[in-house]
Amino acid sequence: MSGGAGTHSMSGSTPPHDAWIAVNGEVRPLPASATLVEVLDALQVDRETAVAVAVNEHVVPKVEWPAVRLTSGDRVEIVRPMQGG
Amino acid sequence: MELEADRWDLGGITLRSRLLVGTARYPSVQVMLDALAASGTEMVTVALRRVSPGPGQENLYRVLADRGYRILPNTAGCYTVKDAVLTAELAREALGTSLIKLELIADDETLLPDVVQLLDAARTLVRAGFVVLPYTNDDPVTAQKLEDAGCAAIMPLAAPIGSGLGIRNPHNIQLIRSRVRVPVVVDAGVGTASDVAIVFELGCDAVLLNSAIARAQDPVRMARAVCHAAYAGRDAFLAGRMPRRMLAEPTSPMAGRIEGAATPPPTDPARHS
Repeated sequence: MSGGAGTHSMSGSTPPHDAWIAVNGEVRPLPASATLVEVLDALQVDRETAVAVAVNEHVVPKVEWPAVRLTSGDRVEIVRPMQGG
Repeated sequence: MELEADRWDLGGITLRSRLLVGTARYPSVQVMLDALAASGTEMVTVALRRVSPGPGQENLYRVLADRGYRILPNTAGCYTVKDAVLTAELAREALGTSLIKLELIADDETLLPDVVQLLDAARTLVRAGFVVLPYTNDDPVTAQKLEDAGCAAIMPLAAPIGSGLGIRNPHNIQLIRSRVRVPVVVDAGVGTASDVAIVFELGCDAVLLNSAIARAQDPVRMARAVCHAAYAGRDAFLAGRMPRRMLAEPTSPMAGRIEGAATPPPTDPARHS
């Protein structure tokens, strides 16, 4: 991720691509154009309601999504409220 | 005090219902919504979980927010301070609330709180501006430490999560209530309506329950039952119960009884000659 926290490589597994990101624990090739907004849209995530994103264990506020560009090795977590007690 | 006017305050939010209700394990979303309505709750809990990519994702937030429920996110499933803090931060970002029900679990089998890590996470989150509502053991010492750490309420368990065993240590719950100033919300282990009534008779401010409703044969009916139990228990507490006695005390007056009843039964002299 550029413009935010530093990146860390994923330990223990060999990524199948030269340039990759991990989204919710799943390794994917790094898209050519990879702002957070583009990654969320590619995954068909509803960006409007009650969703939060962390990159490399740091929350990225929604207003920064269009500007944050992912780099190889970034680990992205996309979460939303689900049923819980 | 009229029960209609009996409000309480949780982290700066004034609530009329003293039930917080979880949204998990219902047979369907419709049953969940009907049960929430029957319980009279105003605040419901949710967990934060990874979205699955693709269209047609459920949007629980919309379903609940559209019906006017306040949403309390939890950190369920977190075993480390780091995960709990990150989950709280994600919840604040996703839901726009500083409220967090802080759960830091020690192990899979008991789901009991890890109070050492819980205190650490609570201090970190209070510093970061969260309104921290910690799920904790029924331990008065830990409760006081959590209050000192700046938590906005104490949420002691009645019994392990999902066990439905009821209040295992009412004395400790009462001690917690008497030793902290913030609201005490009994969380986890409540099994049925009478457990809810007892929580309130002990003087607690509120109850959080999920499985007791969701896993009942008829969740909507149980939701209504716990609503009534909350009113009954709270009213009984406010009424002030009678003192306990070791022996009987006649309810009807002793004076003015008819002669026969006032004297011991006669004995037959012939049998003792």
